[in-house]
Amino acid sequence: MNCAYRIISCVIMGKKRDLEQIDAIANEFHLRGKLREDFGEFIEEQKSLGYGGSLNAKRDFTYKELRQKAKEFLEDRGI
Amino acid sequence: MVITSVISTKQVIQPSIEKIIPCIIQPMIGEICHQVSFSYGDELGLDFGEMSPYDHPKLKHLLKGSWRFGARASPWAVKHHDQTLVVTAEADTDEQTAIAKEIVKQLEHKKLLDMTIEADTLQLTMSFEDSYQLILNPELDDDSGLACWELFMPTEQLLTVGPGYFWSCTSIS
Amino acid sequence: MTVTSVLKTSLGSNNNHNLDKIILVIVQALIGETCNQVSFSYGDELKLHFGEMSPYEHPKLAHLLKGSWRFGARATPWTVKHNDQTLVVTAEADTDEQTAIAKEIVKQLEHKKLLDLTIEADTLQLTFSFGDNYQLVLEPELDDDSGLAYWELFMPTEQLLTVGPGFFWGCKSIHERY
Repeated sequence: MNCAYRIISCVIMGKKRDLEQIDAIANEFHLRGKLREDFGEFIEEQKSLGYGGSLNAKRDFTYKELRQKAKEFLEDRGI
Repeated sequence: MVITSVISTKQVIQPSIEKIIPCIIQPMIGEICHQVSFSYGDELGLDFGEMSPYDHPKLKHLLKGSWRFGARASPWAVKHHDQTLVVTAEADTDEQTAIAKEIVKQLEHKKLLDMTIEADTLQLTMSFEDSYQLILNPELDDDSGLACWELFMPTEQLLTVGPGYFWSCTSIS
Repeated sequence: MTVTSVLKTSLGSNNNHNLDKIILVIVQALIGETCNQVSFSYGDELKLHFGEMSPYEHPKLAHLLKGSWRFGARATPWTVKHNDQTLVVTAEADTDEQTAIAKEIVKQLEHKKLLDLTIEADTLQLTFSFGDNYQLVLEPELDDDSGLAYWELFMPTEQLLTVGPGFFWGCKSIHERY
């Protein structure tokens, strides 16, 4: 069941889904405008530094991992 | 663009409001002001274009225009044939306000012919047929945080200008 | 003191959107700026940085630079042309390898000056024309129901301009949180 779910999520994942997830996280954490932009850069930077997620071979993030990253992002910013 | 201020090491650039705003509101030119009304705080409101009832059940006996201009707390003046009929101010008495409200009602049923914005002062001039003008003189040093004026548009967007040289156009749907 | 006026040119013109004219007057000052950096944000979003470069404010991004104008293509497919020859066309279904190749190619836009920007009124096709005969073309999918903007532009006026979905556009402060 778990393997099937991961296959399905890989099929539906794409650029649009990635961005929709970022926007959804941004809405949840009230990251608008400049903060949302910085968050997108932040998580891409996290990937390049080796702190990527578990979603796929590109180290993209699951939704849960993105939420965690949003908290980190805000904490690091002192918010 | 004109650089207006320096915040820390970053320069904040002033937008070209005098070019941008007329382009956004261009479709309103030629519309008729069907209604002049006053909202809470004696805010002047002008309704242009197609009139329809409000959605709220307690307001459905009232009509609103497809374009709805609100002067917020900006002082305004009405001119006719270049003669000033009235100039409002924050400190106006109730009697002065009542008189101003009567006078500005003369704009009802007049067609909007032109709308200009001055780049430096943001003075807004609405020119109507029969040589009427409504002029808004925003106070650029006003620190209330209120917009100088706003315009609800038939595209379901709200255009706001001010405070200062800030402007925005956002969805209201 | 300058005064700009609007005179009605034609009554009843079917121009509910007027989008092409509005967008071009808002972004007019971008023409002539140099694309100092091409980067990719999460989801392989293409980003072009124009104008003065400065560090991000977030402490974990302080080593990265951003332009005073920042164009983001969101998930919209884009094409790079050189001397009217198509170098690459991207698509949602691109493989990782295709994406990597496209990223390499679009980097050729770095350090090129933006000479012109055009928007087609009906299709919202956006074309950046750069020096040395380079073009970046965005072709929004008008029937896309993802709800994502087609593109966005952070401006030195501290405003964010967004276009799409559909003929929707907006411009608001980058500091807005709610």
